[in-house]
Amino acid sequence: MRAALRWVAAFAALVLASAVAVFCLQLLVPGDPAATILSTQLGRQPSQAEIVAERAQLGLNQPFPTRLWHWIEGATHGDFGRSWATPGNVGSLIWPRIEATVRLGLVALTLAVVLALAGGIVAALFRDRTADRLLRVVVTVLACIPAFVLGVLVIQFVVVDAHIGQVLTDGSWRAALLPGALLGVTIACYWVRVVRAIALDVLNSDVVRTARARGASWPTVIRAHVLPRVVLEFLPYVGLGIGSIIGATAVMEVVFSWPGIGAYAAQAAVRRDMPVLQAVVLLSIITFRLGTDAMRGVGWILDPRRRSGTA
Amino acid sequence: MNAEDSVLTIRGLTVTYPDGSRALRGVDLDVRAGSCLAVLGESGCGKSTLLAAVLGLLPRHTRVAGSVRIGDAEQVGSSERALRQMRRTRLGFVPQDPFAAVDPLRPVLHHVRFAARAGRRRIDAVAATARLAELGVDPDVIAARRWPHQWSGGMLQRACIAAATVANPPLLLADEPTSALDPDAAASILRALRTRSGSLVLVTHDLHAAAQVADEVAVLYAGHVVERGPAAQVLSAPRHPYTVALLAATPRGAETPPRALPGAPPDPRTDPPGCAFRSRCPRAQDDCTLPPPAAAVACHHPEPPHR
Amino acid sequence: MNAFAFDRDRLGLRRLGLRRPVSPALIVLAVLVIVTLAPAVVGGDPLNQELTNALQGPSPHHLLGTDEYGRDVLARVVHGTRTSVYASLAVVGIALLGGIVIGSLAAAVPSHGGRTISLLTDFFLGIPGVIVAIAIVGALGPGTRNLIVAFAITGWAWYARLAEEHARQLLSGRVVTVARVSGVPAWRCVSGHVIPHVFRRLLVVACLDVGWVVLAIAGLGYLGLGAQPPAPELGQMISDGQGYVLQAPWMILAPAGALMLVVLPFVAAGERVHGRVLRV
Repeated sequence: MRAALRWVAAFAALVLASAVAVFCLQLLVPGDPAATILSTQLGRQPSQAEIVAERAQLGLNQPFPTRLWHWIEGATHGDFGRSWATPGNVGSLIWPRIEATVRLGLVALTLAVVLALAGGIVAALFRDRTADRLLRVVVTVLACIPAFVLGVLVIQFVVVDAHIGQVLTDGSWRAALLPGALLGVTIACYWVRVVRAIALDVLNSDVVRTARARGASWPTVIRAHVLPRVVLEFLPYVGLGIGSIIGATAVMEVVFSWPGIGAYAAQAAVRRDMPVLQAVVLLSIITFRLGTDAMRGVGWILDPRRRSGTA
Repeated sequence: MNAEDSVLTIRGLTVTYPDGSRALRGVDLDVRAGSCLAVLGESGCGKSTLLAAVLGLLPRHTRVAGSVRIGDAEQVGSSERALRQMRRTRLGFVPQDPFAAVDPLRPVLHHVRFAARAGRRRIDAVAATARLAELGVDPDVIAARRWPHQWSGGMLQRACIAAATVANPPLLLADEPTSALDPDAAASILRALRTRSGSLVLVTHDLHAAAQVADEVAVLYAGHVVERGPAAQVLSAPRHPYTVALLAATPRGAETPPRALPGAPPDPRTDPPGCAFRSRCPRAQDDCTLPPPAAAVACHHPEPPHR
Repeated sequence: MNAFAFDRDRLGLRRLGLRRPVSPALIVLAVLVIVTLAPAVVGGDPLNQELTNALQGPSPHHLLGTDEYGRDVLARVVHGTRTSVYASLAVVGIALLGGIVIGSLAAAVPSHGGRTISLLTDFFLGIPGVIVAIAIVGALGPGTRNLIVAFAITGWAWYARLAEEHARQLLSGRVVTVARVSGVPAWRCVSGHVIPHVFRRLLVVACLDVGWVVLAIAGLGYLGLGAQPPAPELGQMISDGQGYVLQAPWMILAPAGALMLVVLPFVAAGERVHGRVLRV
């Protein structure tokens, strides 16, 4: 119970610190943000009067600490202020898009984990035989292709050129399969090596040796002893990988014209729309932290040694 | 010795690993029904290889020559399925370090019951608890401590023995079962191993353990069996110079300080002619370059037998 | 020798030295040399527009064809690759040096100071890199220089954490303890012993990172946040090429192929070197 309270307190502190840090991103904008926004929008140098009017409209005429406080206060109930580039509330612009991004991200993550586990364990079982060597070559080549390039190649040369399959952009689960699969494959390439190393250790362990000596068959040994221990040791890497997945998903969303917040953030970056970017970054940080903590929680559930604090 | 009498018959077993090192060279051993054979030797002499060979768990591409008969079934060259069957019904395995061998992610009872499933017998938690109680584990403790990391070494090793004997195999193989335990626990584990109607092969470097439980002793050096015979005879009146040195190196109380043996065993990748112990033997002579005799004492110049 | 090992190395192969890993620093050097010399070797002008020659396929004059403005694709690819590699080196260099300094300080500065620095590292480790980089570039404005700043800001914490762990081990190790007892001041220990050691260990990791930072840079370039037109940028070229797939597929294939070729030696080398061991 105490541990849960400690976690909540730590998490709240992290969110607060992140919110402050994220809001300070605004300070990086060179010169006057109002002038920058206007010149991007109008395509020319804005006049002094226009800049002053824009500052008032964007609320930039208030002192920084006041703006910070307002923003944090609003963020606690999902209001991230007004967009600089479009007339509209940032919240109403991004909340509807979150669902699509979550779908894409989950598809990618699930596939990546499954592929990495399967590939890594198979490679370890058949170490140095054909399956292992072939897998390692394929993984090395695929690891050189960033997900977005793979996405572009597949869209342009498979779907458009050869008319195989189709690209759906409605944000549904079914539409998420293609981009999610490509994302998942790319991420799995980086994970397979780790899983293989872990699996080799586990396969050489006394636990596996004793189980085999007792006459257990390979499928039983893998299901009962290898898989749980490999998953347990692999979990921290999955937690860490969530940060990369978030980023890769954003770029992938642009490739597939996916109605998610990643694509919207990319747009906002081009338009120098800081409030939108701030909101997306804060949500990403929170998601990343929740992800890593969730993995730690799963590890806690799986491993009785951690529960009694002896591991 | 007739075939029906012998639970394990090994003839001319030679094991060569993929890297070319030869761990066992022409080993001959017999284990009678109901008896205990202790296999003695220092680290690297091939003791673990012997067990791995009997279990059929040697790494891929290991070359095995010779014969290993478990009961009436020839093990060398058997299919993986036949080997699994042998492991389940005719063999039991007790590991060296219980904390490393028992899956820490599962309850101890599961470990015992899982072994039963591997032997094609389902036993429930009650039967498993009863079996552990037979081996001296307090049932209250079993109920209170569910996970392996909560058990002591001695108790966990008993659980391993329970798992190994749940299918009542005629032959039990123990790989240094007491080396990870303190002396008290070690003594009771050995007793637990011995009080069984089946046969036991005890691989160990601990001569005291061998003295406690073994009926017969075989001494292994550099993959060769250099001496074998009844335990009382070999341990009190050793005849092979290596066995003599081994006993001399064992701590035996304040009056007889142990004398370490200088030198090291030969590189297992080489094949020196004649007696492998030649380079370290205080009694070595010219004719030791000839192969040693295939007898209970494989030496040209053994100690004379005591009267 | 483990009798029960599930499988063992074929020791024979190792003796032949077939498994000796190539030093990642050498790979970086080789790539750097190739990428620096390539534009001169290949010739051509990445910016020269020949509108009458637009969207032409590969020919002896333009080995990889031309783009929608008649510019030589090969020259653009080669220049763009060089820009990306230089940028990646800058990112990794800054992040590595900054990380080593901060990590060493976190380990060396006693009690609260060190812990605060360590906490700072923790915070930056929890940042999803690419997204924050996008936001930073959104604030600073597009361009290669701002890209470098953005990735350096999001990337230093990784090296700082590794450096901190190594530094802690070294500081409690024998060499430093003896030096301290002999009266060597703390900062000398750190600068003279800890930092060089840490640097050598992290250099391997950093060299391998150069590869995938190039990919990350290309990703942001695809979004239009990298080097601005008319300067060639691999990601931007891929994005531009999407509009001309049927007429001029080489506009996508050339930069995509270049990206993969540049990264391949790093990925292949990463196979041999042990991956980062992270204690979480």
